[in-house]
Amino acid sequence: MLVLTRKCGESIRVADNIVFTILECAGGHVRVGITAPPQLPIHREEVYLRIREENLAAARGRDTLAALLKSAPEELRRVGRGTESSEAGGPAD
Amino acid sequence: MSDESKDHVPESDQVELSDPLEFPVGLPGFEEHRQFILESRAEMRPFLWLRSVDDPELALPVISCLLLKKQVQLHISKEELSQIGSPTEDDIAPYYILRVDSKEGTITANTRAPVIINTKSMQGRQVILGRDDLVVDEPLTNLISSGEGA
Repeated sequence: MLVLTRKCGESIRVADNIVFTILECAGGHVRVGITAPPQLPIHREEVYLRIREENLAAARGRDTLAALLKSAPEELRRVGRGTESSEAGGPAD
Repeated sequence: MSDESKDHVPESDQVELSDPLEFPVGLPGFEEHRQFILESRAEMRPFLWLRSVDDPELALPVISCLLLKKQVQLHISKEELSQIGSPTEDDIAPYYILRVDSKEGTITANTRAPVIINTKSMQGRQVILGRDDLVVDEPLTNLISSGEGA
């Protein structure tokens, strides 16, 4: 990992169009401003980790889903029936 | 005299498989798996399995977002779409990954990070939507009822 020391107000540039600016450091918190092209997805790392965790948990639900479905409320099982006709307002043609 | 009813296939035997879907960046948690198929079983509908080609034991339950009454605007960056062949809106098939809690008997949908399939190029990826109000564990019942919450 590249480690750089920066003071408040200083920045780090990545490639041509990404700039991280240290806006504020106080009480163990650092506020970082990020300037990047709008098409670049930027997320807090914990959001990514949560989704990763959720995927791992979903893969463990394999055996229980089938069992649960059998006793699932009718409203769950109804999903997908009838929607093919008109309800979903799906793409025409 | 042979009264064979050969069209009587048990429902549980009806399995439909999609063509292989390429996931160029894998799925978070399963980064090494790059090829998946969508498996549809009659007794499972409307739920599908997103199953790894490399490891058939790895399967995640999913549901098409288009079947749900409560639909979310999918704002996905061009950059992310370019990784799956830059599909047009018509070529996008979105799915939610579901988590089944056997203890609670509940099904939740990850509305924050849908799986997006380019139906033309048969490529897919999971996209993290930039909206803090979407959660990774939305009860499926909330998405089925049409209540928009005023």
